[in-house]
Amino acid sequence: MTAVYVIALAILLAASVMALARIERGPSMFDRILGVDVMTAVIIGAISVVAAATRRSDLVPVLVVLAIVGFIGSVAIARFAAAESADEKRILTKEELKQILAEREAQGDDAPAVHDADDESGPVIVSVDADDEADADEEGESR
Amino acid sequence: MTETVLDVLAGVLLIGGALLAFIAGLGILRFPDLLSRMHAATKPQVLGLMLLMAGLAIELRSVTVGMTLLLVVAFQLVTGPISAHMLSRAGYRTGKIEHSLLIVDELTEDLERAEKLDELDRLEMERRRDAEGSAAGDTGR
Repeated sequence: MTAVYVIALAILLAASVMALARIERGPSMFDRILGVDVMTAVIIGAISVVAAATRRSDLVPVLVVLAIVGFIGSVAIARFAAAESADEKRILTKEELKQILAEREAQGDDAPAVHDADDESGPVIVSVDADDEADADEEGESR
Repeated sequence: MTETVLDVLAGVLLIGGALLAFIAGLGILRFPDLLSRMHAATKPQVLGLMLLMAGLAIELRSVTVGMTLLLVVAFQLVTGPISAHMLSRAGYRTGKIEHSLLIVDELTEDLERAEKLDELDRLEMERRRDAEGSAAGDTGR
């Protein structure tokens, strides 16, 4: 029976490594959330295998809690996901980062604020709620 | 005798559940776009979880634990579709869906039709307002 548990845990380990690879690669935020979802499922599986191997029924409430709260993170991120422009999505090169940091250094603490609160050219928050559809359309959101 | 049979059954169920998790890992690693990855990711969340919980319940040989594990499956069945729905909807609305990979794309058709109907409604209302305005103008004169 021990061999069964070891094999099951090894398979789950391989699955979690692949989910982790997807979380690392992305490319979009949603692919990462998906990886986290699979990771939660794998963790639930691993806990159940451990509970079976050690015959510990006190691990069962952990499974209940994970099944209940496992989805909250992905729902929260999906709800507040913003449409990012291609320029913002890109990862900065080292030179660009250095330039930005240098600009920030040169700024000085007493300088006037760079961001204008009335400036609406920032990233558009895309609503995923059906009730907000009218508002979202007014903002000329891209489909 | 029964002990051995139950042990073997539990072992088969546990390994089956773990294999489904492995398949999901392969799927989300190798599939090309968000929607097909989501398709692969649901495997351990539903059937894989059911198999693992059944295996655990048989291994622990307790009805109380079995009921709690049934609850786990029920919760996962309730919460899984919520997160999948939110995820696909947000992905669609932020343009992460590759439309050329879709065979059926009813949401886009639906949105286009709704837009057309909206436009027709707007024209109709404008026409009515114009008619009322001219009628009011007539009586005023």
